[in-house]
Amino acid sequence: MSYTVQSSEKLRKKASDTETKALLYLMNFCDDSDEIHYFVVDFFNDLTGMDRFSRKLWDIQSKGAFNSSPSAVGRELVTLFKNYCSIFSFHKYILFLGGVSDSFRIDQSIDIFDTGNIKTKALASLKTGLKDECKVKTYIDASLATDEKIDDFLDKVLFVIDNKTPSEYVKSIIKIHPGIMPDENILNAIFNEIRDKQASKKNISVVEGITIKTTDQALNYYRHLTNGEIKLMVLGRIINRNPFNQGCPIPFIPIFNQFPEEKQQEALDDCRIALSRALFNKNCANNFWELFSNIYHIIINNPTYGVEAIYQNLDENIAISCPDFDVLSLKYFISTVKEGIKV
Amino acid sequence: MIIRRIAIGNDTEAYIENSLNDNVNIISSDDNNKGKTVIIQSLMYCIGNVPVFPSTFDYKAYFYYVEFFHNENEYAICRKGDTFVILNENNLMFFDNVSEMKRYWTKKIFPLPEIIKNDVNRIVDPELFVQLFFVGQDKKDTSNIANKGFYAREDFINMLYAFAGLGSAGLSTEEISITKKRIKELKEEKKTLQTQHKILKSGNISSTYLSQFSDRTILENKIKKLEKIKTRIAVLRNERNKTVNRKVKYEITLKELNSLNRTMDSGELRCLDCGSAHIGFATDSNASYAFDVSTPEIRRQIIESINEKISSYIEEIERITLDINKEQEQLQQVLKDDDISLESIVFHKQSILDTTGVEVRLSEIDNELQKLSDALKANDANTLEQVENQKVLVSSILYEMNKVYSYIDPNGRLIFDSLFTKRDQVYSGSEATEFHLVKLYALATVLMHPFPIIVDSFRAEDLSSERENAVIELFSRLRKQVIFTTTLKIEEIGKYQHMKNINSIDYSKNASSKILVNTAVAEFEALMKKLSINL
Repeated sequence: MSYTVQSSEKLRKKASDTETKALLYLMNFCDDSDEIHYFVVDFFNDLTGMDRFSRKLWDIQSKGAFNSSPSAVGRELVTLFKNYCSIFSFHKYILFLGGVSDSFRIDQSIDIFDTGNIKTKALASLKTGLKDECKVKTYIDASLATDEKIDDFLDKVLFVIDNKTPSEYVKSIIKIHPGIMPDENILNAIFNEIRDKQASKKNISVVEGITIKTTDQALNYYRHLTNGEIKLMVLGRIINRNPFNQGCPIPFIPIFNQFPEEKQQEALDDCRIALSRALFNKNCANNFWELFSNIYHIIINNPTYGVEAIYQNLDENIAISCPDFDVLSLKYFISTVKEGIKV
Repeated sequence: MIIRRIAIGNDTEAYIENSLNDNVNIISSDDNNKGKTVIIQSLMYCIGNVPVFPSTFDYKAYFYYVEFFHNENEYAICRKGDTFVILNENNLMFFDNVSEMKRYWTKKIFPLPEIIKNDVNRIVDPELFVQLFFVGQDKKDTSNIANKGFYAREDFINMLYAFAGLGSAGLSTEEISITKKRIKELKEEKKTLQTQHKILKSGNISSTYLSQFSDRTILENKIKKLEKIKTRIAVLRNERNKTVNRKVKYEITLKELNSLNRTMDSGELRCLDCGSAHIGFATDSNASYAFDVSTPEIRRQIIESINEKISSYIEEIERITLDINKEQEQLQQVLKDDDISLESIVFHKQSILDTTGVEVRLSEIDNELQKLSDALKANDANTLEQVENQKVLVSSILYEMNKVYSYIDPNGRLIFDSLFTKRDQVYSGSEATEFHLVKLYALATVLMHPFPIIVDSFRAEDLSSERENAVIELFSRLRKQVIFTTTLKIEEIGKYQHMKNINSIDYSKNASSKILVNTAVAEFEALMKKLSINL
């Protein structure tokens, strides 16, 4: 006898993949990506971008299907429309799609477009789809869905077709040294990590039915990731590979050459051991990321600084809070970061 | 594996060989001492072989550099003393001994075969491995491997099996029982000898008394010699202690890492009234990161590397111990060949003779015991099928050798029936040369290994022109990189220039016994710069 798994959530992976792609799209490929600081997961919508002080909101709804028909696209618009009708005003309404049927676009080569690139016939069935969905969903008053309001709303919607692989999205986050650029597998692993983190935000607590008065209150529920957090995580994953496999980082060589010859290899090994310890220390994750962010920002702001100068400029308190590093190993760590970042 | 460039030098003199190509290369010169052997041995030394340089060449004073291409990857290796630097795609690796280097090699460049030696599975050292595709000018022997010492010919054969994926040499059931019986006998003999030995060694006052006749100067000399050996032993012991320390350090790190990987549970907040853990706690939004420091994959890789380091240190310790033993043997030797006065010789003649015999016999027994138990151990891992396949492998190599031999020397009367000749049967003159060449050829065709074929002085001991042409023809058909060297007679000068498919490299222009020149230093420095080495 055998048992066949049925009725599992077979679309779950595809859906979360698309949600993460939407997040990375928002983070890197929007014209105003730089302004987005928070990514709030599954609160206003699948995903909502927010600037540092919650004054601007980017609302995004994602749909993983490869070949959505115009009316299916219309039905997906309902949550965006609901937010459009709410008391909050959103800066952008984005529908992120895995793909659309051929009858949808006028110019098939344009992947980011507004209603101007939608065929007239398709636009009509899209509107019908949206109206029908408004009738079905209880959270929106069907009487609001007037033609006028819908037209006004559609003018503001941006349609985005996903045209990249997960690794391309990850790659775009950061420019790094070509010698360090990891292969597809590592990039995909990073993508999956972001996806899992994003998905886990949905499990934190139930937010259905709660009311908030201002948009910033959404952050109290801790369903968000920050831009810097994701960026540093990706950078960290790429740079902090196995220190024993990577050889000696080039910026560290001037220091290495100053060691007495008989001590060189041993000292280098000690630095690597310290770095591995830091990579293993789960209980200092916050401090590690703060130190990493500190180093990263000093390097970005002062590309000409050598390792010694970067070390002098570190925030002493942050450095002290990472018990795994000492002077030399910290300099070694700085060297690996400096080698990894292309400035 | 294609060798692109070989360089040797330091801050005052250097030589760079750039002209190797992918086919047959013949390095020739009109005179001896033009640096052919230095170049070939530099290549081998740089990839980890033991140094076999001409006696006039102070090999310790130079950096050695080799650039090669393998599986679409470029590698550059530099060696000085026992320190290696390897550059591959912007990754710069440092190693301070051969064991560490060969481990990296196995992991990243190509896997070196593993054999069972002294009861442990070990990756073969480059000194044995290179003999798959290299024959040097000196120290070659048809009855054994070159540089026999730590490795013996059984190890070479085991390496072949391992390379072909067939495990180590196997034994038949009868052989196993014979081996076991033999081990028992040897152990018995050892025991008897040891008791006997003890009697001989027991303090004999009259012998000390008699030895006072020894001459004073001889005594002083001896003390000097002893001093030297003593310091060498002390240095080795220091080195060994250092290695042991490092190994311990890594072992401690490993334990530490495992403990760091645990998340500390420090209790949680609960409402004491209702027991609910659902209590609000507003964190500063900037302070908390959602991501872990590293992924399990990274952590796994780190642990693996540390384990690797530990085993390379274990091997290094073993190697140093062997060196120490060698020195100790010498020490004993010095102590033993003391000039003994005639009287004491007469007095102790019998016992002294006995002792020497016993010493030798004891070490012979030890060696044999080790070999037999190695064989038994390897055998456990072997299936009958493997044993069969191993026989097939050897016989196909031999078949190929005989076939090629009759091609080179149609009238030759040798028939090869094993990969090494018997100890008492040594091929002389051209026979030995042919033997080495056909063996290299057969290994290359049967094992289909990716390495270049390198023969220093490939016409040693006079190969007739006809046979030489046959050899060149044969090797150029292999479609591999081949590097041969030879010294030309006056009437032969320029002979390779006109042969097609051959890259003739002429060393006649080099000054005699001085291949390294000052003019190449700048280029050499540039090469070293790439590896971040400042001369």
